[in-house]
Amino acid sequence: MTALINRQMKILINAKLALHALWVNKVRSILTLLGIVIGISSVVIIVASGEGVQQFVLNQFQGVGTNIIGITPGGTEGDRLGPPASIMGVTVTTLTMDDVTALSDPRNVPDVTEVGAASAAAQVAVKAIDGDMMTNVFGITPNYFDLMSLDFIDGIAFDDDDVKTLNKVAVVGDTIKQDLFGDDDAVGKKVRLKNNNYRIIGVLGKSTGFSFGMDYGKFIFIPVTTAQKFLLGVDYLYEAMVRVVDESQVETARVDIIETLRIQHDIAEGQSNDFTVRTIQDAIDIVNTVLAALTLFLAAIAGISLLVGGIGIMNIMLVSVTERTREIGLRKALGARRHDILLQFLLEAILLTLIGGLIGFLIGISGAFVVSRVGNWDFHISWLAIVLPIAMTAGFGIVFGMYPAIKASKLDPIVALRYE
Amino acid sequence: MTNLVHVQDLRKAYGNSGMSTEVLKGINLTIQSGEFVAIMGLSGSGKSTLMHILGLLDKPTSGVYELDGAKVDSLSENRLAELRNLKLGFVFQSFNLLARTSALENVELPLIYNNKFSANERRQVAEQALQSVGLSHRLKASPNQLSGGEQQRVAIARALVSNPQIIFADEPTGNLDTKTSIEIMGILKRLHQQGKTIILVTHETGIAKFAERIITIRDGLIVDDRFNQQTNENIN
Repeated sequence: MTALINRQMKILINAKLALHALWVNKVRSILTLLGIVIGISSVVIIVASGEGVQQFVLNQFQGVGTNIIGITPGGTEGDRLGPPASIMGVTVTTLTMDDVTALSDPRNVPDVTEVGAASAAAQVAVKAIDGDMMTNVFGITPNYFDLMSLDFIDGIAFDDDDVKTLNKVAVVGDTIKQDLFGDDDAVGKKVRLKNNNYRIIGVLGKSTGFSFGMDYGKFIFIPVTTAQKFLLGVDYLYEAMVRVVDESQVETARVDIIETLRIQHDIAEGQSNDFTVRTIQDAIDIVNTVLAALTLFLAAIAGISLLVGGIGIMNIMLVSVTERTREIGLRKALGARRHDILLQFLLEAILLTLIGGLIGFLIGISGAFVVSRVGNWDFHISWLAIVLPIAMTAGFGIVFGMYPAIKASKLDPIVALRYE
Repeated sequence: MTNLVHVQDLRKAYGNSGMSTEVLKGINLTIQSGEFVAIMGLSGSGKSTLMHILGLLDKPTSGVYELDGAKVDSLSENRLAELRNLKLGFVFQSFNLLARTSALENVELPLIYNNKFSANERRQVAEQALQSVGLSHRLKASPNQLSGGEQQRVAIARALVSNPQIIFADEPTGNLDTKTSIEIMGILKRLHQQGKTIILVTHETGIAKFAERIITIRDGLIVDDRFNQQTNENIN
C-alpha cells in the first residue's frame, strides 16, 4: 500500500519536474507541440466531420422516407449495390409506363401504396425577363411531388387525367418563377417550351426532402407523357419510384417488384435483370461505405502528420537528453536510479504530446463545429472522435519518448557528469 | 572509530586491453568514520578517479572496495544509486546546481529519490540544510541570482540534506576566490567537527591543510599519507 502511494507520489513528482523542464524551454516546447497540435486537430476535424456528414446524409434519406424503392433501367450484372447501366452512360429503353401500370396493380405488388415515374430531364430554353435561359424540364407522374416531398406555395399539382390526355400544363420551381415573372403571380400564365405553350398551374416552394444539392426551384415539371411525346420524343422512363406502406415491407416489395418486372420484360430464368431495384437502405449503405472509406483515408493522411509530429517530439527529446547530460549525471550521483531517469524523460514526452493533443483536440472540435455550420449539418461528436486522439497522443508520447528516455537512463553517471 | 572506507590494491585502467592506460596502479587506503581527509595530487595523478570510485560513481578495474564494511563490487546499479542517495553526499567544483530551479528545490533533489519523505518533510529538511549553511534568506533564489560562494553553499546543503555518512568534495573551491574559499572550507570543517566524514580532493596545498590527514597521489599511487599537525584556518 505504502509502496503504491510512493509510486504515485513519484509519478506526481516526476510530472512536476517534467512540466518544469517544459516550462523552462517554453518556445521550444511550443514549436514541438505544433506538430502534434496540427495532427490531432486534423484527425478530430476529419473524424467528427465525417460523422456529421454521415448523419446529414442519413437524415436526407430518412426525410424521403425509408419506405421508398427506386427503379432504374439497366441491370447491375448481379451486384446488388453496383451501378446500374443507365447511369454508366448507356441509354436503356426498357422501363416504360406499362411497367408503372403493372407495379401499381396490388395483385402484383400487394404492399405498394403509390408508384411514380419520371422521364429524363430535357434541357429547354425559355424566355425569361432578362432574356433566354436554359432550364431542366422533368416529365413526372403527379405522385412524384409527394414521393420527393415537394411542397406547393401556389396553385396545385397536375393529376392523372393530365397524364392520360398529354395535357400541356406545368409546375415551376420558385427560382424559375422569379426569373420568368418576377413578383407577379405565375399561376394561369403560359410558358413556352420548344414549340408549345404550357399553362402554369402550380409553384413549388423550397424543397424539404430529397434534395442532395439539387435545387428543385430551378426545375419545371410537366406530365410525364407530355414530356415523352413533345419534348423528348421517346416512350421510355428514366426512373420509377414506389412507396410501400411501411419500412418493414420494403424487402418483400422489392422481391415482388423484381418478379413483376421480369414478367413484364419477358426475362427468362437464369438471365439477369435489365433494371435495378434499389431501396433507400441500399443507398444509405452505399453512402456509408463511401463516406467511411473517405473518412478513413483522410484520417490516415492526418495520421501521417501526427507521425511527423511524433518524430519531432522524439528529435527534441533526444536534443534535450544530450543538453541535459550533466543534469542526468548529477541526478544519478544524488541517487536517481535508471527507472527514475526513464520515468522523468518519458513523462516529459508524454506530457508534451498530451498538452499538444489537448490543444489539438480543442482546435479540432472548434474546427469541426465551424465546418458543420458551413456545411449545414448537425454538429456531432462521437466517442471515437474523443477517444481516438487521446489514445493516439498517449501512445505517441510513449512510443516516441521511449527511445530518448532509455538513452538518458543508460547514461553512466561519471561520463554524464564529466560531459561538457 | 570503524573502517568506513577500505580499499585494497585498487586499480583502474581506461581503454581496451591492448592499449589501456592505468590511472590507478594499486591503491591501499583505509579511512575511518569521522575523518577529514584531503587527497592531493597534480592533475592527471588519478585523485579524481579515486574519488569517483570511492563515491560509487565509477567502478574499479580490479581490487577490493568495502564501504561501511560491505563489498560494493557486486552490487547492482540500483543498490549503488541507493547507497549514493543515503550514505554519500557530493560537492563539485562547478557546483552542478539545476539552472532556473530554486535553491530550495535544488537541495530537495536527493530526497526526491528517497521514498521516505513526503513533500512537506522534504521542504522542512531542505530548509534546515540551507539554514545550516547560512542561506535561509535565499530559499527561492535560482542559481543565476546567487554568487559563486552562495551556489557552493547550496551545493553543500544538497550534499548534507539526506544526512550522509561521507561528504565528497571535488575541488570545492576551484571556482571561488580566496575569501569565499575560506568560508566554504570553514563550513566543511564545521561539518567535520559535527562528526561527518569528509573526503576532499584538491591540488592546492593551502586548501588541503584544512584537513586532518593529507594523502598525496602521484601517477596512480599513494606516495604520501600523513596527519596534518596544524590544521589550517587560513590559506598559506
